[in-house]
Amino acid sequence: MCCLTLLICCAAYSMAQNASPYVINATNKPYLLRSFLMFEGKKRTHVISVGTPEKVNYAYDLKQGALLEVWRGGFIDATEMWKDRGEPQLAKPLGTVLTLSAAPALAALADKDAAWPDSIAFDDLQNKGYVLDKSKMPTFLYTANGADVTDKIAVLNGGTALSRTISISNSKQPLYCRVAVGPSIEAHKNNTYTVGDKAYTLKLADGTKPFIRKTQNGKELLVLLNTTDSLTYSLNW
Amino acid sequence: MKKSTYLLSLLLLGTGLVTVKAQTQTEKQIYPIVTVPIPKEIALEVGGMTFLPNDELAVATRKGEVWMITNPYMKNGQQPKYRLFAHGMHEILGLNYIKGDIYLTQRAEITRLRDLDGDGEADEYRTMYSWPLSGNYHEYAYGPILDKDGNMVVTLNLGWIGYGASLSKWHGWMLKFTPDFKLKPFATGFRSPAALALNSDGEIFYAENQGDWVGSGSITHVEEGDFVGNPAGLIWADEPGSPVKLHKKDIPDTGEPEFEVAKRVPGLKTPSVWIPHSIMGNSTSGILNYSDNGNMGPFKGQLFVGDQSKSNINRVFLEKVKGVYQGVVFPFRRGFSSGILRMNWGSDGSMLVGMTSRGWSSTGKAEYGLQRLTWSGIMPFEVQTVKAQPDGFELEFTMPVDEKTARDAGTYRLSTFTYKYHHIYGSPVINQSARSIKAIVVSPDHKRVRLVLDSLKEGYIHEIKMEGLRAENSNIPLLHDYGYYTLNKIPDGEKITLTAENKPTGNAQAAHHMEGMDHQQMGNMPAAGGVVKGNTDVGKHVTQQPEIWTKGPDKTIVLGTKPGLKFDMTNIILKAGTKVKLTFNNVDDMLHNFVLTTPGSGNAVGEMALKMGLNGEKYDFVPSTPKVLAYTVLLQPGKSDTIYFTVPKTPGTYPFICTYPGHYMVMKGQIKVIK
Repeated sequence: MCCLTLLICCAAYSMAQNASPYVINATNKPYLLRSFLMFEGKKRTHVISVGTPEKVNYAYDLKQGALLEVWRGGFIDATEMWKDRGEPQLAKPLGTVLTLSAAPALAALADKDAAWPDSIAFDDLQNKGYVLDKSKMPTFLYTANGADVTDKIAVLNGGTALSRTISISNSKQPLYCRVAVGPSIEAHKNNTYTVGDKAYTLKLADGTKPFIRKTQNGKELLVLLNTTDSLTYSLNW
Repeated sequence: MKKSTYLLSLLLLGTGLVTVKAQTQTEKQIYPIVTVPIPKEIALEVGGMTFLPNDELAVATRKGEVWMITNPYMKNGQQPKYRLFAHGMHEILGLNYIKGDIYLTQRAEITRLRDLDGDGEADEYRTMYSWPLSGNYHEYAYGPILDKDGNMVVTLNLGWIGYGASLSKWHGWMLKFTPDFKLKPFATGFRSPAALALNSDGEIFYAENQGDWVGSGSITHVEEGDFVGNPAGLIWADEPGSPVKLHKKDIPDTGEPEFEVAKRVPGLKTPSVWIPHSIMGNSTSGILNYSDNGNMGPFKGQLFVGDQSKSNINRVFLEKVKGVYQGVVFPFRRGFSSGILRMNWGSDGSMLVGMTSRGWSSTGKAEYGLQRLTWSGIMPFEVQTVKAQPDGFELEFTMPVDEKTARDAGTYRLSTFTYKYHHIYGSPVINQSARSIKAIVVSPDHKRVRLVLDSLKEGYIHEIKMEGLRAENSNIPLLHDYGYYTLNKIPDGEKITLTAENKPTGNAQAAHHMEGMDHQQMGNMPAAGGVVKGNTDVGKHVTQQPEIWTKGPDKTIVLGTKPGLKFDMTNIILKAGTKVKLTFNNVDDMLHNFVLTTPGSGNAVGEMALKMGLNGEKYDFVPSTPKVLAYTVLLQPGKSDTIYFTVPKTPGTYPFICTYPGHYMVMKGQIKVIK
């Protein structure tokens, strides 16, 4: 923890003095960075991290369509990428991360009780990159399960929360979206849910009809999407 | 007193020589280098470069940015302007403007960048094709270039786990992509294919770096289904779409020359032109075809090949004999500021040279750089082409040669050699032998000289040195008087009949010159120090504990390496006279040794090792000099060597270095000897 604090101090300092060439912070617009990233003990190779001026940051696995983790504060320490040869090629988030999931956000399930897949095979998801909006925030594009998918993750209200909108089109079948997974999920009014001992809160757009289901390890919050459909929710932690 | 008189006369003699050589050409005079200034806040570690139609230079960096540079020529005395176009990509090592769009390769993919809203910054980062990665740092990706049929071409580096390995699909391969980005695996056997380009025939050539299964750097013509040498990529040969039919078990690991193995392993493609390691280059990394866009003197249609480690550019002339490309490499220009990775033609015919040295040291000391190579318009006196003949070579010159020196056998020195083909990193020079000249014919216009040799050795590299040759009238020596011809095929045709008329004048240089040839010369620079011989004093490499050390060593040291050419200890303090057992573990991905020198001699010993030429590796790059006190052998990655030595009695600071060419400037430490 001490070490982490020190890094954040360095980060703040670096913005003023440019002392460390390896600490990256988004100053007046978002900074997007492709890298390897350690997640749940595994090196992920097709990851993009997004840092914002509001200091709300996240990491996203482009080959799973998965929002891996979110954190507030400093953005990234790229020392292990940019110092010498950068052998680990690992970006390190400069903050306490809230771990979400490396599993794909979307899946075609045989029925509503079928288990959620841990991953999607490399060749079954074609990542198409991303486009930036006026504020330079990305919308990720991919095709999977025959559907064209856009996944826009933006900052809400000056940094109070992240907003995510997943849209699918041309799907041959309805797809499920797993909005959350955790040891526990509690429903509240206004389509709001708390996950895992209130680690974070989700608010789904009005009219969205999610359902909670039990799994061996806990609970999942799912939404069924039509062949052309979209889903918006916010994430606050 | 007598001694100083002698010295004085030597000095006078030296002055005399300078006067005689007053007209000697220099690289600097003929090919000036102009540094393009880079703003302080930009780390322009060049990974890719391309010009846009509006003459902006787009430069991609290893930190994932794309910069747009206007006026890199500094026309009208104006400074170039830099604008950040895109950022955040993963170690970009190739950038190209193709069919109206900017394409690049980052580690995981080919990306297309577009500025949709016209604000001068990319806002669409489109993944055109994505390949798997294992997470190994060595899985670099290069390209794309456009082939003559409209496909894009990329190459993928092998991973490194103590040896080259294809840890994820298509690493170690050259891949083609159709205009709608369907993948076509094209060829394999690649190790570290840092550059690819088309020659003037539209054929694909790639640059390879020395390593396992690669005795020396080279450039190689790549055709569909080729296997170019490193077997790691063959694990994907059975994948759908693979045009390669070989398997790892088909590749013998005997240490025979690669061309010999290729005779019985159909599909194994040998280099078109070897670029002899440590003499011509250490890290082949950029290829630029001398097209009509360039203005570099009389070498149109040839290839310029950059070197990351030596910060130099070589020049390659290719010809096709019996359907196979082969040719000669000559030095062209050295002295760039950092490690050369990319070269492009500017709109004025100058060559933009983009550089980086982070993690991979280079002769040019800067961490990164952008320079512009220009031609003064002065005609260099150079060997323009070398063409294989049934009985020797025909050398064509950029200006008429002096007939007297051209006809003199003593002007030339020729030899042949090759490398081992094996899983071991690099290779010593093997099967080296001198060639003698049987006839010399000078063309009537004095621009061509035909050398008839005692024999040609098919498959071998032919070293051609011409120190004594002079230009007609001006009497100047060649700007570069040596080159290396890779003779893949001996052409058919008429041989020259030996006559009294074409019999060489003068005496051939004796064969004993072969040992320790002085390859240190780049251009016609003075041969400072002459030949450097290899160490033969076994007392400096003691691998058994001396019997008189009855109580064993006083101190045991285990030294290792760190990535980026470093020892893991750089300051060791020892008492004078300490008996030391030192184990050096090379855990890096390159060859290294440990050489302990006398105080203040680190750089001098490193420089001497550079001058050992073709024989360097045979002697572990340890020069014969009293400045060397103790050393380990040259270690393969993952290997170690233990030596015993006694710390000198005189207190002081004793440098230790790695003398592998190019390493000593950064890979060093010191033993501080105290009383």
